[in-house]
Amino acid sequence: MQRFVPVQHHQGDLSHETIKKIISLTEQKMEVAGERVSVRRKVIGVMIESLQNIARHQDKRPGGQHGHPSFFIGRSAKEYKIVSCNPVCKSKVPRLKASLQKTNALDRRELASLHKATLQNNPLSEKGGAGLGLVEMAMKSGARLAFDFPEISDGCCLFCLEVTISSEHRPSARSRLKQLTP
Amino acid sequence: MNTLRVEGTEDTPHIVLDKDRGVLEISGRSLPEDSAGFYKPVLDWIEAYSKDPNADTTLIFKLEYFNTASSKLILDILYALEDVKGVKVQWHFLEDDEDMEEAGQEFSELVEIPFEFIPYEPGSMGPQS
Repeated sequence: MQRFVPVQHHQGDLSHETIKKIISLTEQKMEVAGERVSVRRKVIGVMIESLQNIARHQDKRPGGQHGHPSFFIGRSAKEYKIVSCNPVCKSKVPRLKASLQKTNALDRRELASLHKATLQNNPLSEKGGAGLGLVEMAMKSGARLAFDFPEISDGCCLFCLEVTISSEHRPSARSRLKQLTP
Repeated sequence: MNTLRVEGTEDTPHIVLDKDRGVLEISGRSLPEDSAGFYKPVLDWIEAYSKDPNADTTLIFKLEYFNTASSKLILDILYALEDVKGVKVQWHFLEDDEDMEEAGQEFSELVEIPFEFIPYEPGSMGPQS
């Protein structure tokens, strides 16, 4: 079992200013640790999507109070693990689960096609999302997205998403795709 | 036509849209909270420019990070210039950042504008008008 050392974590509401601070602190720590630029770029890229996803889609818990979003990034000898949790209405779970299952079922070439088609065809949502976050994270990770929806109250679940990024040298999903393309 | 210049911040890009030089440059980080609002003045400027463009226009991207919402706006910028004659794109990317290189390739496949891909080394500032 891999042991993950925390790099950064946060619990509580996420404002844009808080997101900037979390990203900045993580970048500093990775740079001080001597992490390769290519790995830093992937990790920060996934963090941006993960944190902005929470901020954009966090639902209010019953009773009007915000839930408690949380974010964690940890490092083992071989990889980074980025975990985000935010409360969502149960009614949204089937659609989210279907999107995640669809993303995980796609191979590299299919992910790239979906990314391109979504970029081309989907307008920005009212909340400012592009509908590309999960696909983007899956492509940067090159691994399946792990997820769970534990129930926290009537009508409300936590949406927990875990993305891993290897810190060892290996081609990304995109460059492997390039190698496959004649 | 006035030059549009926006200084970069930790979450918004450095932007220079300069008709005199025919150079439109977007560099740095693009992860604004409201991407559509941030890029509206840019798209307005480009719409006006496209009605009376220079013979040659170079659109320079040198981005470190951009969120997926910004990617929609980057595509809107490219669409707005697609029918302007003499436009070319310079897509700069850190030599180890294969995701940024591939993102540029994806954009190049979505528009009929010639792209030049230019890798740079860490620490190199590159174009900053």
